[in-house]
Amino acid sequence: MFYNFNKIEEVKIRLRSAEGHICEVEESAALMSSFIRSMIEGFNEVTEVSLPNINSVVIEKVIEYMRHYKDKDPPIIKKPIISSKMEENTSAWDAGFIDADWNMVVDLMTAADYLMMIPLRDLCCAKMACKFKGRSIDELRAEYHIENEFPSEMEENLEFQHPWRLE
Amino acid sequence: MESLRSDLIREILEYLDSHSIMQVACTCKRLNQIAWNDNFWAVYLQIPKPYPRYHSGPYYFYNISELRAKFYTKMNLAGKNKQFYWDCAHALNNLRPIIKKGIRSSSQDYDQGIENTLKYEDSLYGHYWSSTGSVTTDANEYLIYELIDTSIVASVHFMCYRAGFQGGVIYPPQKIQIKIGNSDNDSDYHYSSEIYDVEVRNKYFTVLVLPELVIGKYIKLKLIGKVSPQPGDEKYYTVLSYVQCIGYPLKSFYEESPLKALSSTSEEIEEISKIDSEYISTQAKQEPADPFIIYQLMAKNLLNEFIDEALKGRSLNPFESYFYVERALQNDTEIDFGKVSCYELIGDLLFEKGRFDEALGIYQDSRDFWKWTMVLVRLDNYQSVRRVVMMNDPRLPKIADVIKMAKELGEIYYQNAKNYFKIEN
Repeated sequence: MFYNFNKIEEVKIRLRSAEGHICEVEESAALMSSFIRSMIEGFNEVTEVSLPNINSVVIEKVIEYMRHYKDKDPPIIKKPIISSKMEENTSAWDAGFIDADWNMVVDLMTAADYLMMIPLRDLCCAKMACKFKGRSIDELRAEYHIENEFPSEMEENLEFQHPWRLE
Repeated sequence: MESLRSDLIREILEYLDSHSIMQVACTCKRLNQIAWNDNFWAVYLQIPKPYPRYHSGPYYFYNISELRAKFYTKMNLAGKNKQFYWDCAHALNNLRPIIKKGIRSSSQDYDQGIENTLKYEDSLYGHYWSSTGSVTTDANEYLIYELIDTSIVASVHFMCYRAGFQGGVIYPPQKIQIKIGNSDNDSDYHYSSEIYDVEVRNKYFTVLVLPELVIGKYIKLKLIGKVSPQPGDEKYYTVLSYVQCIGYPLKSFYEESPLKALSSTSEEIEEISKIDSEYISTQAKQEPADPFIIYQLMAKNLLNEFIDEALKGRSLNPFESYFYVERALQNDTEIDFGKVSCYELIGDLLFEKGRFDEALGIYQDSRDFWKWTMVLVRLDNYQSVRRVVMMNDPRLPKIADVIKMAKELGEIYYQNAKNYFKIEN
């Protein structure tokens, strides 16, 4: 019987999403997540991890990130960010990867936090900071549907205390 | 937003500058609570903030009051005594050009030696330092200068040369690093800056040393990599037209120190020219100002007066022209183009204000043919664009480049360009 020793297939980890879909990822890539790493190291021969609070679209996105940074370190984003454009804060690949709508970034951030992937979580944080940077209060309220919760007296008081908000 | 945990929101806020944090904190109660938590600011203020050390632009960068504040904070943390503060305050208020001479360069083409980079006036009349040609782009070069005396080094400035006679090629290095030492031996440089990328533009580049206190007698410009091949022999060169170093020589402490602890005389230290109204009335008509004098005029708010005085007697050098055109555009006054020298960044100013015909003239005179073609595309003058493209010269833009330019200008110009060259998709 012929057996190709050079091409021993790597162990694949099966990630079960909230909908019950299964996404496969190579073990070496999956180890980037401290959550999955602790599962694998804790229980021998674990090949399936269920993630009941992450949907499959987000899992696919996370796997894309894992595969890209399998053999190299993600770039570190400096605090505070220099510009409101993501391309100027980090590498072109990262900026392209995180170029998604608000809900997707929130989901990705929650997922990264759950999976304990600090570089991905930081990337999401920086992306959100980009959306906030340089905006006025009214713009922010309009964009994120935030109602003005401050009573009017307090509002005046705020204006008096912090003249910079009128800039 | 509601779904995010407070600690994640804190993480986001840590990526913002303080002004933006204030804005976000005023939007709703929850964000206000998170941002005004004392613990948040304690953590936030401890994150080391990077201070940009490398600048490029139409003039060289300096904001001495900001730098001074940074410098004092640093020294305060280091626990220096009062005398030291006095001396440093004096030094930072009396910065001056400190290069004495060029000592050595890694290579030299013909008679284009390192001494050609020292005078700003020379650089305007085609004096420059050039390396010898190399076959690949990964060759490194260096320039070593001796300073007037062992000095506090504040900043290093340089400008790349645009070869107008070769069709406007610029020969910058890919990257630059500054080293400072007490002797010109390679192993004796005690300070090395970070490595910075250099743009392929005819701008002033500034590398600040200042918030650090660095003292030395020699500076080395390490020019890493090359960019442009010379038309003709297709070898790669690095060419700089002007190098300047600003700082304060230590010897001057003895002569100028407010406390006058010691006195000595030295001939090497040039007198810094006193800049006041009298200076302007005598000097402005005769002598064009170099970047350092312009910087001093700016700091004393005398630049407008100087330029008005200069316009009476002579034409302006590129550096003065930039301020003159910038001011005229702001005040909507007429520009006397007979007295303006060509400088590609003046073209940029005019282009932004929508004065395309004048920008076209400036780009043509400064031999920036890419920008020149861009203006033609903006003006929909495709007959001229076609002539440029047909010339089939490696230094000039091709059809693909023109399409790219049009795309950057906007959708209408992109469509026009595609229609003209009959390109689909």
